[in-house]
Amino acid sequence: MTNTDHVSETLTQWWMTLESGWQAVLLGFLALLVVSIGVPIPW
Amino acid sequence: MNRTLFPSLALLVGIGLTGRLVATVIPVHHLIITIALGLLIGNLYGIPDWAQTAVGTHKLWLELGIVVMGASVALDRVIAAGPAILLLVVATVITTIVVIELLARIVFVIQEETGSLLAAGSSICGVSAVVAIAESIAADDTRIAYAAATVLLFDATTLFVYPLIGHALGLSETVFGIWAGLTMFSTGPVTAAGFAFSKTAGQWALLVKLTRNSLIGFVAIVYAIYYARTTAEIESKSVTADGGTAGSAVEWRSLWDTFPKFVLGFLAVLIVANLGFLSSAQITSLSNLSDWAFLIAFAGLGLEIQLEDLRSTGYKPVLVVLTGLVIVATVMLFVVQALF
Repeated sequence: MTNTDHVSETLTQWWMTLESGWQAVLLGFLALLVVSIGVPIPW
Repeated sequence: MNRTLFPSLALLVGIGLTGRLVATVIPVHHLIITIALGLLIGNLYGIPDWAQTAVGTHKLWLELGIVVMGASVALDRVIAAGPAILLLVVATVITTIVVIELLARIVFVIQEETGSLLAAGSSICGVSAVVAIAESIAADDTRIAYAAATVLLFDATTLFVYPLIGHALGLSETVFGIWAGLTMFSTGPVTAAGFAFSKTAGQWALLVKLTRNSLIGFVAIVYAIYYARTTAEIESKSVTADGGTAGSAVEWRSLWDTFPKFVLGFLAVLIVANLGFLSSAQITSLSNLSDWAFLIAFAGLGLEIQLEDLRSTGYKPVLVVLTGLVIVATVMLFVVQALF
């Protein structure tokens, strides 16, 4: 297993342990980050 | 991240886009059509195995849609209406619990725990509240399934009926949104019905509903205390004088555990946007993202409603909830119309 695979697996496992509410908060802030650095969301 | 996620997400997006296309032909909001399409497909053909992954994520999409929706909500409006909304929410939650408990215990005489689960589901946030309260009163699985099916039956019905009533009565956007947020059950159907009426109504419905959801921990604790005391009383009557028993310790931690975390995200995004950190173009982008997230969420919600499961409700729990809903919704409609 490469380091990338290991990091990816660890991140996936961590993500799955989160409540959906926390996942929504994180995704929401990711969206906020994306629009705040000026990358438009399509549609 | 599962390999079947993307094809199954594509199915949800496909159902949502079809709903949006159909809405250009018939005068019904695309979210309602999307749920109806999902329901039709899910019940006629079932959910294929490869699509289960994304269907299971519909709650996440709903919560994400709500979090980023915070950017479109004006904080001054929230602060101005805040105290009145908070009072209304607390009054509605208490009234609904009392009405449903009285109907369940005195009028229709159903099993006490089932009555409490129905009261929690009707007063706070549908099935999530049923499950949270079931944990705090240690209800058995059959009763949970029974109460959850009853709540789902009303979720599936009210999301279509509320907008019709709102239009028939000529309610204003604010009144409809607050009324739906106060009296409908689960967050998904409240959001769909609110936005089906209008965007402003949807925002009000969400604000009120999120306030209601935030009370879930308090209601869980009140029920836990009540049932712990009842159990302790029964046990203390059956033991000898020196064999007293302590009631179950109420876990105050459940206040935090049951608190819907996405509400924090919604509040944070609302504050960031209202402090002027985002341009109007960025707020529009977030609003578009919210629309897409709702589209996927409601396609999944529709697919997940299994009419077969709804048939498992008994007529008495349905009558309890129906009578309670009619009483509370009527009273609250008068109150909201008088205040807003």
